Amino acid sequence: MNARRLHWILTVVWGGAGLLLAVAGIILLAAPMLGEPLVTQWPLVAEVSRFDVPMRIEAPVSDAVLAFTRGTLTVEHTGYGLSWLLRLSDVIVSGGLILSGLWLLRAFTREVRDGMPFSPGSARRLRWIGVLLLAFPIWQVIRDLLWHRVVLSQVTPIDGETHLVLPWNQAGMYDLRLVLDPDLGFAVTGVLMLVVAEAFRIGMVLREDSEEII
Amino acid sequence: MPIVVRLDVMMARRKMSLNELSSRVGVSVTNLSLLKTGKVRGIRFNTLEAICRALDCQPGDILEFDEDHP
Repeated sequence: MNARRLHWILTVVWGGAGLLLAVAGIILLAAPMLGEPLVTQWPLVAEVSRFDVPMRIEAPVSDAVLAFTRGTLTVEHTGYGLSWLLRLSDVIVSGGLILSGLWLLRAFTREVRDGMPFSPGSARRLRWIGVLLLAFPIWQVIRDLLWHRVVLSQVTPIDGETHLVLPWNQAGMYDLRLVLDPDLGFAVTGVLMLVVAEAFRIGMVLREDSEEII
Repeated sequence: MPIVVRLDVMMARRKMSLNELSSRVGVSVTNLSLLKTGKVRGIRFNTLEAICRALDCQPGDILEFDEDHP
């Protein structure tokens, strides 16, 4: 695939991502007004693998319904509460990171298309893409920690003996542990991108040296 | 850099203009001008050979080592 086509595809992808983000924002803003619940899910693990670990628990919380089904905690929340605010911040931050990364990648392919891959701009853009990729799983952890706090503040215990506990807290026999599940693939790709950015920076210096040799 | 380019001296001795040297060597006037003023990082052997051939001189007549040169 040549750089011209790649640049065109990335332009379309960026536009599509922006459109999806706008739709997500509209749904997020409109859902509480229409009385529609917003659904959030996290992985959960039982502290001890036993037959009597509940396979399904439901509990109403202040502005949400919480359900645990086979390793997944589902929270359906309605209204403009703290959960909604967290959801909104997730859309803004995650969407912002994705759109920024795609925009930088698009700008990089434009430089490749124009025959100038080893320029100060391309090395800087690749470095920023790496930083954004590293920031994404960090944001996922922050977001999940905030969610866990919100959920725990609303539901303790779920059914009298089963508690939800934070990832680092000691859990009882019947307790269910919330799990942090950041996508480490982004972090690995981010580190690789930083290495590639450094290679491009060195390439740029070599190109400048080469241009100054007659 | 202590390497000093004496191209202007040799051009004056041979009474050759920058335009004429450019057409004989096949290097642009801009690049030759940069070389003459010492604003380049290096010179390729084939460029040096072409200049020496055009000016009928040795590489040492064009390049000089001067430790005191800034």
